[in-house]
Amino acid sequence: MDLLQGTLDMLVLRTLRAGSLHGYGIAKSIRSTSNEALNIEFGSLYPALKRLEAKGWIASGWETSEHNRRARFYKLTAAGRKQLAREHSKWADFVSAVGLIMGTLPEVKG
Amino acid sequence: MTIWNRIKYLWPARRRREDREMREELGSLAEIAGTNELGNLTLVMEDARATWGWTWFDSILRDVRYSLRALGRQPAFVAVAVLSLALAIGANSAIFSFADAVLLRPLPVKNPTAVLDVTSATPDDLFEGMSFPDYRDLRDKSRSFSGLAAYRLTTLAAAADPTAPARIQFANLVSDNFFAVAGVKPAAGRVFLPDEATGHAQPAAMVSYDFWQQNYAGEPSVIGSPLRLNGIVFTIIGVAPASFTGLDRFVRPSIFIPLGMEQRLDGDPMDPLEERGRFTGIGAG
Repeated sequence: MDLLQGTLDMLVLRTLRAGSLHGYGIAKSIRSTSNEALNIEFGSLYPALKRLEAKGWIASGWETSEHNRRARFYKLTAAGRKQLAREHSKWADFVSAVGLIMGTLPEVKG
Repeated sequence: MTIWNRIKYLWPARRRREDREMREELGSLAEIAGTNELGNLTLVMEDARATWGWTWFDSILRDVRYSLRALGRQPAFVAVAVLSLALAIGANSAIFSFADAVLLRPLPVKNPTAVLDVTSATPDDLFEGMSFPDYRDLRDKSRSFSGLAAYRLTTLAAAADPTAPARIQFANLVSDNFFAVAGVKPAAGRVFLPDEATGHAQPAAMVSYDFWQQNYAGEPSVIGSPLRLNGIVFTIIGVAPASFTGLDRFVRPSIFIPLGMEQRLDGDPMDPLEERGRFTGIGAG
């Protein structure tokens, strides 16, 4: 499934709310949490991380991973938490507005 | 991203550090995930660098480097190109200087549009100039001009200090009414008096503003001080204003002396003022 334009930043911030992760861990987490529906290309995710870091919404540092390997871990900053709240409420408004128009899924007659 | 943050990414050391950290980070992730899982890492880094917002600048920089390398491979071509550009620019500025002097800059006199160049012509020489007796007749009898002045360009060996070696300077031999006809007021001192016009008078000279600044540091005491010209000691009576650089377009005289002094300066047995010699007259209408 392709991502809706502009939702990647929100998904990354939401994923990091649970705790710090390295770049590949974020991609894996989004994939498993969405029941494999959202498969985010690492090539899109990594530039997004750098962008979010430059905006000050996430911060990074070297830590040791679960398999005793060193990696750069990203975590949410206070500014990132606020940004997540803003995007989350915008997203909720969007979903409910689109839902009003679309209604329930029509039955497909064979 | 704020402007300041963006500018930080232009700093080469900062870029190298960011690059190194990205390479380390991606290397460690590749070990954790396996290379195939992450895709083309070079492309990933390229896209991450694009978030700094200087891609356009980087590509210009690369283009400039490439062109310099390409030029370095063809030194003969570069030499010819640089030489022809230099010649073209030089020729253009020379032509402009000429046009500026002839067409654009007005004569440095009070009323440049009312100045006429009066000269006599012969079938052989259309710009022969005018002899002093002809000038004197025209000045006294003609009623077409508000005034008629005469001058001639010459060079003199001038020494401000009696012990100093003389230097060749451009000078104008002028009629006594020269500055009055041109409408030019002296910056210091006075202009020539009618009885200073003849060769028998006390030798009097005026100097240009530049000459005054260079040799007398603009001191007012220049008035009355001696100036040796071709071995004759003149007394400086005045300084022309900075705006007045003579009536020739390309030559700026440093010294002005009366026409009557010419015979003594040249050591001529005959007074050139009585000859049918060559002068240029100017009239102001």
